[in-house]
Amino acid sequence: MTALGPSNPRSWRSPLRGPWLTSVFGAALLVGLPVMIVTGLLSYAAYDPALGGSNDQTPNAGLLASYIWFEWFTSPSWLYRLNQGVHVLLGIALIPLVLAKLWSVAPKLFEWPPIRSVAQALERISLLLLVGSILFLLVTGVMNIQYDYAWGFSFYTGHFYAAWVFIAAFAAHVALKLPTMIRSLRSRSLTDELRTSTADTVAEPSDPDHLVSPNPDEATVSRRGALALAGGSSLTLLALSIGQTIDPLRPTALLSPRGRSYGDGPNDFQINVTFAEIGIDPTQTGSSWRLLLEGPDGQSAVLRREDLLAMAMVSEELPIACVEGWSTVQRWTGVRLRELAELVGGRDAESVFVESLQRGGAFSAMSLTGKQIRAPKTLLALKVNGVDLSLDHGFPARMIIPAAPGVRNTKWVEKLTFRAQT
Amino acid sequence: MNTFRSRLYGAAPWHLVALLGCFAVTAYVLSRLWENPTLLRIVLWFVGAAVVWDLVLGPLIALADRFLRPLRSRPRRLGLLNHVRVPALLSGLLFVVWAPVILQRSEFTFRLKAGLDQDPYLDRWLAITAGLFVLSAGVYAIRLVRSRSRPAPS
Repeated sequence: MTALGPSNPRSWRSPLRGPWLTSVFGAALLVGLPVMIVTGLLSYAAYDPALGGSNDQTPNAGLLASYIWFEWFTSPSWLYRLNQGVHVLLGIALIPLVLAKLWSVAPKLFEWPPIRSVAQALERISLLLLVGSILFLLVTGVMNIQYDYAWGFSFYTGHFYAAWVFIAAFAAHVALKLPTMIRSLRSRSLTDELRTSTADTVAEPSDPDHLVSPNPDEATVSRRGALALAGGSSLTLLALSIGQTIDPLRPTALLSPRGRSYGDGPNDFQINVTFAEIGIDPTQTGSSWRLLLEGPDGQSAVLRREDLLAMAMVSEELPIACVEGWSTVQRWTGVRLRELAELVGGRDAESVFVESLQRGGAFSAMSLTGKQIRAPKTLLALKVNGVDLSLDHGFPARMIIPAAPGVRNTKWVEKLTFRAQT
Repeated sequence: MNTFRSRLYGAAPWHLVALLGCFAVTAYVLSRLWENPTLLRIVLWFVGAAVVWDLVLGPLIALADRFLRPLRSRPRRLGLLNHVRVPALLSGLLFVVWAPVILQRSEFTFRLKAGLDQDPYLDRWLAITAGLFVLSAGVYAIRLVRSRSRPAPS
């Protein structure tokens, strides 16, 4: 091994690589990644997968779903908006830090000989799981929020199971490396590093893990500069994405699919699933439309839109918050779902199965929990911002559920079946 | 114990325990996906993501950086290197993250989902890239003027 291939430690020239720099990136990820894990697991729980059907996109999860012992919350109404906004925005912002961390340990990948002991061989396998899973999660997440489904598998399946591999590999990595990280962070002073110019930047003393180059080049950037670049990249990505979830900032999300304006009319807000996509005859939403209600004991009712408008109308400011991390807050007007339940003896129903005029489609029929039926802010909305819903937003009627993922707010509702048991 | 550490395994027993925990969860995940017809594709994207970064994108970035070496600072010459590196890296990062819309890869789906096209994204990315380079050039110009007005170090 005398040639300057990647297996030769002398061919890695950066004077910045070393346990201290790696540990700074590691410490930042140690804060950020657990937030990703928690918000990710909560997002899965927010579908109430125990209800089955479309609510459960990974029906074979077994023990991996056993942490969900609770029904999803109905307040505060911005809960899912916050959870998913954080999950997606933080995920985007962490990309530069993940890549910086991988850059800082790159020589280890090509280390020769690749295996020195059983322990090292097993650890390398766990690192493949760690790196493979985190990149998989970032790639599928970033593609999913841009509607690029090139993988040929369900986003939910891939992202959920890879997340569990990541959780396991991340936990093992932290357990193995935490002492090294703490020791390395203590080996240099952050304030001193932030005062060190490029000209004064020299390599860290050689370390047992061989991160430090034995053949360092002259520094072209200081550690301060490298940290600023990684942190600045994170903030740039964040600044260019945050508008997708805050209505007044929307135009600043220049590259996000959800940074676009539809206009300034009452129905001009973000659409997910257009009326054109579902391919139903517009006359089905006209005067012949009826809402069918079925109660747990066989009671039923058929309501016209005028009948609904004659009921007690309630208005609520509620967000639509998508799993993709964007959200929009609008003022919805409609009938409380619990009043519709009472019409057919479903006051104490355990769940309601909501069906759309849309046929097929992964989420055209979904269930809500008893808690969501009884939440005072859960509406069958007929109007938004003072006018009738547009066809794209679910005319003649759509569900709006506080704190729930956007996809549960079924549009073009046709039938509500209240059930005594889930 | 010492034999385990020095001969049999190569690390302390808890090292093995932590890794076995990781592998147990992974094995369970695989068992849950075993009959899923898309398992192979998931594994392919999983391994592919690591391979593409470690063996393709990472080395390409390092290689590109080598070509910029002549731009380094020298005695009596303020280097352009970081003034090219920083905007190039930021622009590249934005491209990698937002490639699906910049390349209009998902326009058909996006039209059905959101009723919108993806026409503006390439132009916006180019404009941001141009802005980053202009900004960086401006900072370089300021530094250049400052370094000339300062007496040269003897």
